[in-house]
Amino acid sequence: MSKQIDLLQGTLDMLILKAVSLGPLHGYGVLLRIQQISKDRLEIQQGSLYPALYRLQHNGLLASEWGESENKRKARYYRLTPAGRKQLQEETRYWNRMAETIAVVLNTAPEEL
Amino acid sequence: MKFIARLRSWLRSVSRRPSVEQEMDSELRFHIESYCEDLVRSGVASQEAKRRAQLEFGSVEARKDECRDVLGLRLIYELAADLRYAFRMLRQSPGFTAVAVLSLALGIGANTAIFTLMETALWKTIPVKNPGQLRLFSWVSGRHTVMDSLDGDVSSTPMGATTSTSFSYAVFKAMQRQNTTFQSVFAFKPIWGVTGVLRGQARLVSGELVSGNYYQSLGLVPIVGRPIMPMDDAKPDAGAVAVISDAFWSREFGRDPAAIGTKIELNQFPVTIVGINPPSFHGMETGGNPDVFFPLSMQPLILPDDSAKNGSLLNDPDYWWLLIMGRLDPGVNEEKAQAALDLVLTHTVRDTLPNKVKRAQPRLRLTTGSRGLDELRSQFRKPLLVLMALVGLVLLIACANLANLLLSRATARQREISVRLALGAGRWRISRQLLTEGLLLAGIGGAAGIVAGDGLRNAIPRLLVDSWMPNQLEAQFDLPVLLLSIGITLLTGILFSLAPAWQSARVEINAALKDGMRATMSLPKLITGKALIILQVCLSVLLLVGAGLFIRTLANLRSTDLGFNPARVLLFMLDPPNTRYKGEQAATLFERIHEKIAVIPGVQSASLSRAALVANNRSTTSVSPKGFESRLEKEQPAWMNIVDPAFFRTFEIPILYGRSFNAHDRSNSPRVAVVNQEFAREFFPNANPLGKLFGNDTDYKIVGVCGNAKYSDIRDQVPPTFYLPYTQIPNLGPMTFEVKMAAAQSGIVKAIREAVRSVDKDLPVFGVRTQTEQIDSTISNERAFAALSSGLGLLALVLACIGIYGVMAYAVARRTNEIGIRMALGAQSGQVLRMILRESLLLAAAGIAIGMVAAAGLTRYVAAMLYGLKPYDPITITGTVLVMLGVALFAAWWPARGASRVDPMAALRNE
Repeated sequence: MSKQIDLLQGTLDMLILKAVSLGPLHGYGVLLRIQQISKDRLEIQQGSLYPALYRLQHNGLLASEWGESENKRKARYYRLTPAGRKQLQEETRYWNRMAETIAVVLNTAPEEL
Repeated sequence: MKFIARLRSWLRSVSRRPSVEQEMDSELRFHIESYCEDLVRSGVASQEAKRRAQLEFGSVEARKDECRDVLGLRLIYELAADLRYAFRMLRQSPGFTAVAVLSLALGIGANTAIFTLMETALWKTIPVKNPGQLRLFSWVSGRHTVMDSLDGDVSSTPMGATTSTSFSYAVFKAMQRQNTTFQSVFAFKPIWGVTGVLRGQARLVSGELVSGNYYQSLGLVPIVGRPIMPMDDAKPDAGAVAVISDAFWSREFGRDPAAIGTKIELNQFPVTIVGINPPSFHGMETGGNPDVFFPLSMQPLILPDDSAKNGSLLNDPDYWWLLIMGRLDPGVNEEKAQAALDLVLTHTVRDTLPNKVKRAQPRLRLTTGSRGLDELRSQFRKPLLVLMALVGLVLLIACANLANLLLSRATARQREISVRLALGAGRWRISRQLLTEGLLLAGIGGAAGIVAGDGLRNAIPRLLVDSWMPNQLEAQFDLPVLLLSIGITLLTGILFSLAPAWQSARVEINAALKDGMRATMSLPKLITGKALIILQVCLSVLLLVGAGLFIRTLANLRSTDLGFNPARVLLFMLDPPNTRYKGEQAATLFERIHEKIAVIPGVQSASLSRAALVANNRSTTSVSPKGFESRLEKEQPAWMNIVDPAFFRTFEIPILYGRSFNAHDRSNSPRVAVVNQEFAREFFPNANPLGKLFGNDTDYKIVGVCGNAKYSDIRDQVPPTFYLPYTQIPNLGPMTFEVKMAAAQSGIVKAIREAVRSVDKDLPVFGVRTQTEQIDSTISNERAFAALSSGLGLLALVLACIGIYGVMAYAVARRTNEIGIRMALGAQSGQVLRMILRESLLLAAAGIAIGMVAAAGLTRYVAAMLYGLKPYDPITITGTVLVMLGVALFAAWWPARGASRVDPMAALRNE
């Protein structure tokens, strides 16, 4: 449990967009993909995934259609819309800048001041 | 971008709710099942896998709610749930629902009806192309005007100047010719009545004389046939054509297109019908609906004027009668347009009336023409405003009443609300639920009200308009009215559910739950309830005072001494066209008809007069007694009526001295007059008027003095009046016949029509009514006010009764314990009874006091509509106070009696 990191507020949307950007996925697939990429280090509330998916679709960042899953069942597949792709790029850029800045701040040694 | 995506998603979700729900469900189930399968695959037992999958996913329903929230569906679901719940609540208390819906339906219905009438009478524009561009021409002048004859609307400005909308034909032609700022200038003149003969049948038709460019300028296209065109009006008698109204087409032709080409005789002159107006167009005069429209060039032939050369008003620059309108070019400065036309007017007056340069010159004014010739506005503005105020009050009372009822219901539901709050419902959510209930109630009441209003809008004009005249105030129920009604409904709904909603949101959960029933009877709620009762009583007092004043006014008018006996007198009118009866021929015609009518069985006496009595007709002229050195100084206005010898007998007006007229008063005998007492007192004080002469151009010898009788209006004092025999007057014009019957008879009208037909088969009988109906019509406003205000007052009383009962019953329930203790300590049941009644009376007294102050401020606005009493009429005020106190006592009686019968033991054990 200790190796897992609690998800920061607002980052779930970004992770979903990233996961879906690698190829259309159903909701359960999004969960698996995030766990797979993060090597199980991110803790995601399974239920909270769906309101987030609905919100992204509601805002036009995701689109969805029904298809057949690997276990031969009907499942809803999400894919990125052009607006979603743009949003992911922007958020990635923003996140990297912030992470960089915070890293700089945190790594500052007293003698550097 | 995002907004559009959201909107599209929302619309999709709302419109396809079942499939969205189903998809959501299968999507979540798919997730849990997939996870479960994965767990099983990794070696977990199937039961345990299912349990863990569900546990880790969390509450499916909560997640679904979140998803719905994201899609914006939650609002809809909650609204639907609220509505369902509200419906159930209303069904559970049918008594409450019935009172609420009924009072709202009446309140909203009355408002809708009055607004419909106001829209028609005050705001609606005429149905032509761009009515906003139309301007009606008028002029202002000093008192000594250039024209000697003026026919039309004339009024005095507050500064003493004369203003009118009538012009001479010469002025119209000059303006049309020299116009630079208007797209077009056109003219018209409503004609009150001409005799129309169609297929050998005579009837009175109304008409409008129009210039050749009238249709073209208004952008008016007949639904069948062609309009009147400039060529019809090009030269005198150019076009013997007419366009008829849609109503006339329906009435006379049954909408048969063969009407086009039919000939109709107008005052004996045949014209051809060439077109039919659209049904929405009712001529230029609001409230009118002329049957036939014919070109101005027809005037000398159809409506010759005896005073003008060849009967033509078109050549007479001294006769001002024509109404002129222009269509302003968009973008033209109105002041410039007015100045330009003013110049034309000045030049034309100088050129056509060269010997009048010393008189006051008229200056041109432009007024709005979007409502045509606005007659309705001046006639109905004030009565409608008063009615609007009355029905507004009723709606407010209904609101206050409902707020009170809802408040006590909210109290009864306090526990339910507390439980819901305790379970986590938001306060806003609870308030919203109560608002939804209020709006639902308002919606049902409003829908019923709109239906009721549609019925009332036809009933109210019937109270205001003369029964034998065509309906002037024809109101249509249209979109603005519907929107307003819906607006009123929403507003009232919010208004009366605001107090309960607000109060419920402030409930202290713990206290309410802990103390159960007792804590629910909170004090602030009772205070709000009492304040609402005071407001309700106060508004009811306003209505009652209004009702009292109007009822007393009507009673005063009804009991006025008329000076004549109107009972069993039937009136009808004849207007022999002067194309057929010239000069003294009219008098001869009337004499022959009179003879025929006098011998109809059952007729006691028949007579005729120029002005019907109490019909707002008047003819005044300045006269002076002969034999004074300076006659001008003695000159005073007197009222004149032209009558026949039997007039005084028909109306039982006593001849006090001298004689009435007789068969010897002919056109070749000395001119004689009968005067009333007031005339004798005014012109011959302290002298015997018999045999004296008076007059202006002509002198009349007084042969008799009759009793005072009301002339044109029962509200006026009896004016100095003189009567002349019609046999001595040429060019009589329309006359009213009066037929006194031995007993009320139904067949008499038929006999009269036959009598007239036997003399002239083309002479229509019109304006048939009894003298009593005639008098009633002049007090129709008062009658409408009295009827409506007393009806509304009664409604207000019933509502006040319900309100007081509700609050007092609530107060008694709240104080059951206290009353029990009082009685245990020895209070008598009579004392308890009095205590409760006193409380109710105090509430009523407070409301009455405030209401009276408000009434004192408001009633002066209706002072001009009262007759024989002041706005602060002691009888009305006393009556209102007594009635209101009586209602308060009555309404509080049942709760008070309940309180006086409280069993102390039971009440105390209740604690």
